[in-house]
Amino acid sequence: MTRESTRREFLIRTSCAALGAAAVSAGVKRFGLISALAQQSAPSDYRALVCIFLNGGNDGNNTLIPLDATGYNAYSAARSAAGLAIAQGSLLSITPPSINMPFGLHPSLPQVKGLFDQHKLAIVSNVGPLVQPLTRDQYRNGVARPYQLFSHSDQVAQWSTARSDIKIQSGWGGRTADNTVSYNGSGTFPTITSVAGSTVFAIGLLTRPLAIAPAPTPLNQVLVLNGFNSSPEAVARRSSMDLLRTIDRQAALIAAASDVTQQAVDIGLALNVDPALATVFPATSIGSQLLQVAKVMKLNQTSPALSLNRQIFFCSLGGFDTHQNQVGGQATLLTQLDDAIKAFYDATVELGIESRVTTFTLSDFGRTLQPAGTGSAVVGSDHAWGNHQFVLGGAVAGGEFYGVAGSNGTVYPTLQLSGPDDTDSRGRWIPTASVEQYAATLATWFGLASADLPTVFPLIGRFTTPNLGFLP
Amino acid sequence: MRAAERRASVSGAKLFSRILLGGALLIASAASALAASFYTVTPCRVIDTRDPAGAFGGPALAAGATRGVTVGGQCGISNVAIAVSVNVTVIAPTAGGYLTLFPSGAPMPVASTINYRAGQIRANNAILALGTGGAVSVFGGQGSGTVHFVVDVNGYFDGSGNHQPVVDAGPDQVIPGATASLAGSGSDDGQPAPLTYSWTKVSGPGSVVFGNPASPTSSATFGAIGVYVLRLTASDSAVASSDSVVVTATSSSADTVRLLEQSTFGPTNALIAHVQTIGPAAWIAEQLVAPMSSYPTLPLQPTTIPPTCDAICRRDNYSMYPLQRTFFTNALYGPDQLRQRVAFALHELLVISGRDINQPSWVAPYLQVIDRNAFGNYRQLLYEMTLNPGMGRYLDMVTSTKNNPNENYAREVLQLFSIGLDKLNLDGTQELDGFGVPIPTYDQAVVTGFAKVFTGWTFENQPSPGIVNYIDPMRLIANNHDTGTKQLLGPLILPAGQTGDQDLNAAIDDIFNHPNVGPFVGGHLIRALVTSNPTPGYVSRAASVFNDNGFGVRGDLASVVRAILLDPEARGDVKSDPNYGHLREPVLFVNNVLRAFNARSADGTTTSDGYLNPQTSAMDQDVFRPTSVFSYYPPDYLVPGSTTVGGPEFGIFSASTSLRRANFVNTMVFSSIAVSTNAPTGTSLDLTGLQALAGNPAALVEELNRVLMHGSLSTAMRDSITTAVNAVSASNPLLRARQALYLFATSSQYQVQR
Repeated sequence: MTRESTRREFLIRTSCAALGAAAVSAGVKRFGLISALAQQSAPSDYRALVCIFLNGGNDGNNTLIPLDATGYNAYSAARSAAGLAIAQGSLLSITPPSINMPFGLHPSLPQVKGLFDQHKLAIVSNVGPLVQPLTRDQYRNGVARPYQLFSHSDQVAQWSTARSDIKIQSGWGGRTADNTVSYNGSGTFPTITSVAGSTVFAIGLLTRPLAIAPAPTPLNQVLVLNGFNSSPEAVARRSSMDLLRTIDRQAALIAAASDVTQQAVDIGLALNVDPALATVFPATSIGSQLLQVAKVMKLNQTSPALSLNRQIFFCSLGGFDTHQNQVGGQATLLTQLDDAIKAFYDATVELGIESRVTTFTLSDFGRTLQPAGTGSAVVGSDHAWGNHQFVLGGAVAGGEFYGVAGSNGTVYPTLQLSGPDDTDSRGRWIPTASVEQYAATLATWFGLASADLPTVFPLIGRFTTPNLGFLP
Repeated sequence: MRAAERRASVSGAKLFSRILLGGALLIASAASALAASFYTVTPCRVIDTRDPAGAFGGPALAAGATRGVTVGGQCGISNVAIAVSVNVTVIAPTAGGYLTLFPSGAPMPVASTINYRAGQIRANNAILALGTGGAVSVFGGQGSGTVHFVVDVNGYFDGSGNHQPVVDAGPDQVIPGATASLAGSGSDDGQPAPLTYSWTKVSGPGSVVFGNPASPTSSATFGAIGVYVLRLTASDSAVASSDSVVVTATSSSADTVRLLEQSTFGPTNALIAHVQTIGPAAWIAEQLVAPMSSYPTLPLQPTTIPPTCDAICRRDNYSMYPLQRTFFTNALYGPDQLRQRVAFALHELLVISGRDINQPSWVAPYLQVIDRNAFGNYRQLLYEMTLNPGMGRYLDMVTSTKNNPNENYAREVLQLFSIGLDKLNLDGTQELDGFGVPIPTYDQAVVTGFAKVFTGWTFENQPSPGIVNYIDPMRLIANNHDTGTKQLLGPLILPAGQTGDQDLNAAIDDIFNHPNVGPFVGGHLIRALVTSNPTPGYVSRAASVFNDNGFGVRGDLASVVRAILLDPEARGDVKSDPNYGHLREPVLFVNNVLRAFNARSADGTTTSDGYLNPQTSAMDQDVFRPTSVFSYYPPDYLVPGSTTVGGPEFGIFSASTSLRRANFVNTMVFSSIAVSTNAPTGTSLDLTGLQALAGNPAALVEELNRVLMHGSLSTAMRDSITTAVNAVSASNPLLRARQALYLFATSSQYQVQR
C-alpha cells in the first residue's frame, strides 16, 4: 500500500466524525464539562482492562524459552557463551496444547506458571507492531514496516496507539473508552484511571484519564486540596479559587491547566473513602499500583459516584531496558511482576469480579537473542521487536499460547540468528501477530462492537483475523 | 517729588494707554487690566555716552538724533520687564534743550523727560515702557550741538505681575530598559513662594510611575514599551511654567518581569529594579559573565554500600540529596541565574538519571560538564558529554567493545541529544518527502556505525579498589576499539584503521554539523525558556544564530541564548497569542514563588537549606532522577484536549500533581517547611512587604500583579481576589496577604508563564 493512501486513510478514520453520535453526546458529558456528579446504580455488567506496561523492553527470550532439546539448544547456542542463558533445569515448565511441546518460564515467574496451569493466564507469543504482515524476505526487501523500529519512545507509542505506520496522538485505550462510553451512563468519573502518571495509551479523542498516586496513598487522600475549613475567610478563598478556574480561558495553556485542576477537584469529592482489602499486596512499585487499582474497583462497586460498568486501568513497571546486567536485573523485576499480578488476581477473586477483569502486559519491544557485552555480571541484550505478553483473568482461555503461526507452523518464533524470523543477524524477531490484533481482542471482550473495530483500529483489516481468541 | 519728576511720572493707567498707543506690545498680558509688580534693582548705570563709543557708551547725542538703548536684560532688569524706572542725567550740553525718552519702536510722543540749559548738569527720574527688544529710545531735542547723557536704572515693572518660573524637563532620552533618570531643572525669582515641581505623563502607551514626582530629578518607570511624553511643571504658587521631554522606553516594567521569568529561577524586587534600569541586552551581557555557582566535586564512594553506612550516610553518599540541595540553593541565591536555567535545560536534553547513576559523586561531574559549557560551544559540550563516565555508564558506552558493541549511546546521542528522528527545516518543522511524509535522519545501519565508533572507551583507572572513577573522562583501550569502516550520517563512511580518538572526533563533527542540530537544540532552548509553541520564524532565527553566531562560529550557545531572549517573540508587553507561553515545570514553579518572596530559613534568620526536592518530586519532578533518558516529560506532549498545541510540561501535570502544586503553595503561604533531619534550616517566605499593603486591598493585589504576573491580571481575576481579600478583616493584615498570595500562586493564570 502506498504511503499516500495510508495517509488518506488516516485522515478519514481518525477524525472526530468517525465517532458514533451516541458516543459523542455521552462523551461530551464525560469530558468533565458538567461538574455535578450524577447518582448511578451499582454496576450490573462490569468489565475492566488492566494494562501493565513493562517499560524498557522486557527480554521475552529469557521469559519464555523452548524446553525441547532442539529448541533449548538453539537458545543456548546464542546465549550461553556470554553468560545470558538461563539454565534449563531452573526453568518452570509449561506446555501449550496447540504446540504440545514444553516451554520454560523464567524462574522468577512461579505464580505466572501457576495461573497458566489453572488456565487463568494465556501467553500471546511473538506479538509486536506491524504495518502489515511481514516475512523476513519482505522486510529485507524494504516492504513497509513500523516507523522507528528499536527506538524506545516510538515503540512505546506504537504499543500504546496501535498504529505503526504513522505517529498519532491517541491511544487504543482512549479510543476504546471513547467508543464504549455508552456503558457508563452520564456520570463524570473517568473511564480510565492511571496509577502510573500520564500515558498516551489513555488519551482518546474524548477521553482523558484520571491520574492518581498509587498506594500507600489512601484512596481518599489521592486528590485532596489542603488548607480549607469552614471559616469565612477560607470559604471566600475557596470561592475565588473556584471562580478563577472558569475565567481567562482564551489562552490555551491556561484553559488546559484549569481543566485538569477542575477534574482533580471534582474527582476528589468522589474518592471519599479508602476501601480495605483482605488480599495482601507486595509493597513494590507494581504491587502498590495494583493495590490502588483494586481499591478503585472496590469503590466502584460501592460508591454511587462511580458505579462504572466499564473501566480501564494503566500501570507500569520500569527498568527492563537491560543493555547490561540483565541476569540479575530482569530476575528482580519479573519477581516483582509475578508477586504483584498474583496478588491482584486474588483481589479480583475477593471482590467477586475475577471473570470481569482482564490484566495484560505491553512492552516497548523484545530484545536481541544475541547478547550485548559479555560476562554474566554485566551481559545484557539490545532492542529488538516481537515479544511475548501475558493475559490474565477469569475470562481468559488460559493455559495456551496465542498468536499467528509463523514459518515454523507455531506461534513461537524460530530462535536462530539470521533465521527465518530474524530481521538481521542479532535475533530480532519479526512479529507474526500485530499489536492491533492483540489489542482488538482485548477491546472486543471489553465491549467494543465489531462495527466499531475499524474506528479504533483502522488497519485491522490488513491482518488475518481481528481476534486472537484468548478471550472467547 | 520735584516738579520735573512729577511731570515725568506716569500713572499706571497712562502707562498702559501709552503702551496701547505705542502699538508694539512686549507682553500680551499688558493689554488687560493686570496690575504690574515693581521690582527694585540695585541702581545701575545702563549707558554713559562719555564712555568710549559703543552700545552703552559714546558718542554724545547730536541735536535731533535718536539713540536706542537696550535696557531689558541689563543691570538685573528682567528681560520680560515691560517698563523701567530710570534716572536720566544730562552732562555738558553745548546748547539748551530737552531729551525725550520713549519705548523703542513706538512713535515719539510729544513729551519731554528732562529739560536743560547749555552747560548744565541736570537729572530726572522717568518711568517708561520698554519697546522692541527691551530698548528705550533717547531723542535729543536741542537746536544744535551735542549732549552727553547717562541712564541709571533702579527698578522695573513685570507685566505678568510675577516672574514666570523657568523650567526645563531635560534632554530627550532613549533608554535601554524600563526606568529612566529624568534630569529636569527649574529656576525662579523666589516670588511669591519657592518653586514646587510636578511630573506628569502627557502621552504614551503604558503607565508611568515616577520615583519622586515632586522632584525635578526623578526616576520614571514605564509600564509598556514605546514613546512617552512627560511634563515637568514648576509653580511658584501663583504662576507655573512647564516643559516636556520625550522618553523612548526600550523595555517596560511588565517586560522586565517577563524577561526575568525567562532568564532566572524567578524575579526578585532587586533584580526587577536593576534590569529596569539597564535593560535586557545589558542584563544578558552581565549574566553571561556572572560567576558560576555550579556543583562541588564530591569524594567517590565504594560502589558497594558498606554495611556501616547508616541512613544519613546513605542519604549523603548514595542518593541525590546533596546535589538536590545545591541545585535549589543555587537557584534561590546564585548570581548566575541564566547559566543555571540553561544548564537545567541542557540536563533535560542530555539526560542521565540518579536512578541508575546513584552516587552524587558520580553525577556531579556530569553536572559540571553542563555548567561549564552552558555558554560555550555545543560541539565541546557533545564531546565532553560523550566521554563523561556518568553518561558512559548510563547509556552503556563503558562496556561497549568491538566484539560486543552496545547501541544505546549511539542511538540516543542521535535521537535525543542532537538531531532527532526526522529531518527538520531550519524553522523546526519537519521536512516532508513527495508524499508528505517525514524523512528519517538515520537508519539502523547508521546506529550500528556510531556504535562501532564508540567502542573501546571505559572508566579511567580506579583510584582505589572498589571505587570507580566517575570524575575523569573515559579513557580508550585501543584493543577494544573497532577499527573497521563505519557508516555515519552524511553519508559519511569512516575509513578503517583510525584510532578511537580519531573516530570519536570525526563522529562528533559529523553529528555536530548536521543541519538538524540548530533547530533541534534551538527549539529545545526556546521551549525551556520562553514558550512551548514558538512560531517557525522564531525557531528559524534561533537556529540561524546556532549555525553562525555572526562571527562565523557554529554552535555558540551564548549567542543562541541571547538571540532567544532578545527576540521579539520573547519580548513585548502583552502577549495575545493564545498558545504563547509554557506551564511552569515544578523546579520553576517552586523557585519562582520562593524567590519572589525572599525565601529564607524557617525562622527567618538565615538562608533556606534548599531541601525542596520533596516538593518538586511530589509534582513528578524528582531533581536529577528523571524516570528515563526521555527526561521528566516528553518534549512533544500536547496540551490536554488539543491535537496541535504543544505543552510538554503538561506531561507531568495530572489531577494529582495539580493539587500537589496548590498544596505546596498552602504550605509556603500559611506555614513553612520546618527544620528536620534532612532540613537543617527549613524554608519560609517573607510576607512583610505584602502585609504592609494589606490595609489597601487594591494595592496589595496590584503588587502581586506586578511581581507575579507582570501586569497581566484580568479585571475579573482582580475583582475576584480583591473580594476574597476584603472577606478578611483589616485587623489581620497577615491573613489578608496570605489570602491574596494563595489565590495568585495557585491560579492557572500564574501556573502558565506568558
